[in-house]
Amino acid sequence: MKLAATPDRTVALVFFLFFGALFALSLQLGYWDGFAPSSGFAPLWVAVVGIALAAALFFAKNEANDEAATTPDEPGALLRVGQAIVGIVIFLAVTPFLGMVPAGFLLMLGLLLIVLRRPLPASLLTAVISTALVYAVFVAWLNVPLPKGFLGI
Amino acid sequence: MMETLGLLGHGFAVAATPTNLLFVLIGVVLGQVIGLLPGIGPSAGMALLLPITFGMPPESAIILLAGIMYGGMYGGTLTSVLINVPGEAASVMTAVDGYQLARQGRAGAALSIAAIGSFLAGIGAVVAVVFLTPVLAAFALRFNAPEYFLIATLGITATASIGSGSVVKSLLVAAFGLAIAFVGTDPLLGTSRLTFGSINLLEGIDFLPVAIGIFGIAEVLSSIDQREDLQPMKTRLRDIWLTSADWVQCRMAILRGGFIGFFVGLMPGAGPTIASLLAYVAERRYSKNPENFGKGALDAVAAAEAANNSAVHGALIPMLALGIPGSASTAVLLAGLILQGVRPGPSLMVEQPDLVWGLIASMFIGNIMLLILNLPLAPVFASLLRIRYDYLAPGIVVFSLVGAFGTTLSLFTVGIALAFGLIGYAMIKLNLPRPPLVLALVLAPLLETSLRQSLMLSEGNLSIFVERPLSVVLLAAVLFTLVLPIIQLARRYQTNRRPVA
Repeated sequence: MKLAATPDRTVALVFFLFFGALFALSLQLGYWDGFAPSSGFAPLWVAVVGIALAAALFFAKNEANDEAATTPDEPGALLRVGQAIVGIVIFLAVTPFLGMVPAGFLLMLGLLLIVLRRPLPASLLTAVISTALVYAVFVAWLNVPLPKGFLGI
Repeated sequence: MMETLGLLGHGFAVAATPTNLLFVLIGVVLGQVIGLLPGIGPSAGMALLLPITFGMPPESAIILLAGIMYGGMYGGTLTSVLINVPGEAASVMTAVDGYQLARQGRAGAALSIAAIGSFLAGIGAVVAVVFLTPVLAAFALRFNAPEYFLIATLGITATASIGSGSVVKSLLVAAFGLAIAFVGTDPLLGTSRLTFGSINLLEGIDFLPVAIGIFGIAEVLSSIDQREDLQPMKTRLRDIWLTSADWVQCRMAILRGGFIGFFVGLMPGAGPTIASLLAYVAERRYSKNPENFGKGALDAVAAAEAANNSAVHGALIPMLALGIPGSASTAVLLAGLILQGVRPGPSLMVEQPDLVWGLIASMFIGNIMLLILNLPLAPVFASLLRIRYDYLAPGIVVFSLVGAFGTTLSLFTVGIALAFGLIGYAMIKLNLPRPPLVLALVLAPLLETSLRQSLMLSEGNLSIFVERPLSVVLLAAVLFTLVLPIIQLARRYQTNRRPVA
């Protein structure tokens, strides 16, 4: 029997692998300890239920709510999302050196100019206002010790 | 009854302090703004703002978060009526007729009846919360470990079967949420579990970065996909007034919508979205002019809005009385309580009367504030819709990431938030529901601990789950929620097989 490769079946396979791994890891934790369940008891049973559900999803008939995932409307949409993710990863990498507030400012500016292609003046103003808001709430009001970089902020 | 009213009076004394009044106002205004901004819903807004509640007294923190929760219902109406884009899911039915009314030049009337309907139904629901919550909490004090396990399981299975969408997907996502919750330290033995040798994972994966990622970052990434520039319909203050004919048309719709919304909101997983849908369908049946539904029926807007606000308040009853959240928003609220060091559950009303009754009293105050804000100030809030979402999205992302850092002061947590942002984005694209994940994450400690304690007490004998009548009833409820989708599927199959006459 041939089964069409639908998004739901792909999701089912991913979950099947995930819960399969959880099952294997749970076996190493110990199932029962004397007269009480051990560490691996609950994860093992959740893994069993997960595997069963993944199988049910894999073999389920296509219904209206199982139709293809929403796809981005424009060809550049995935690229924009990818750029945003790269931007956030760069933010994480440079925060220890630049400081979280300056890194956040650059992330916002990058998202506005590169990903969302907004005009420079409006983007700069937005980034400045948003950064000021973040500083006011987290640093000035809540005294959260955000990472500071070589700029001292 | 007199004791309850006395406690409510004490609650008003807590809620009416200048500080807490300010937090009610901030909460409802933020909720209104968050509700009207497409791309971020009340649960995401609450999750993003959880870190700023750390320094607050628990009563103020919960009052603020709850204000965002029900304020969001009012805010979602504006976008539904003015640009035909529901600000959040519970306003979908409002958009059906609300936007048509706006096109007929009656945007003001639609916004007005929505605000009044939400207010009346909200106040009615809060009154019900006042009297029902203590009764349910007193009942729940009789719970032992088996009942706690079954009620936590019911919270998850009911969310999956009663909520919209595929039951299998909802249960799968809930199982995924449980699996995430197992990472860290065994709650009973104190040994490390599924940490892969990482010190960072010893404390487990916290609810907050998951919620920030799943709701905040994921929705922003999803919004970056869609580049729409929507201009809202203009509204003027003088258009807000309702005629007496409008009021006669809508008063029963508000009453019916309020009742339906309240009882739907009580059920875990049902939520304001389903409440507004059921109220809309019911009102079409009872309306004197059902042919207008879909073309601009004012009573349709009234019913849907009354239902969604009533449901949000009704959902607080299981959360306050049992410690079981029934929606993503109440899950975040529950997490907020835990972060404040408050132990949710049936004893909450006894141990923290200031917090519970202060919260309930603040909901009366908050609904009054929202009515005042929405009637004359609707055009002002509507003007916020002219700000392109592009200018808000980067700020939301950075606020989310900094907020995640604030929980543990570790960049590792920010990484967790980003990872769950990607997972949440994938879930949106693959049509996987996200609320069951956060619900399972919140309920997992209670579920596992009570299960293992039950089996420890019974030395592994499963009959402990059917020994007491209470357990039997709860077990039957769990089985019913699992069987219900199968029954619905079988009915649908029979209907499809029937030959067309």
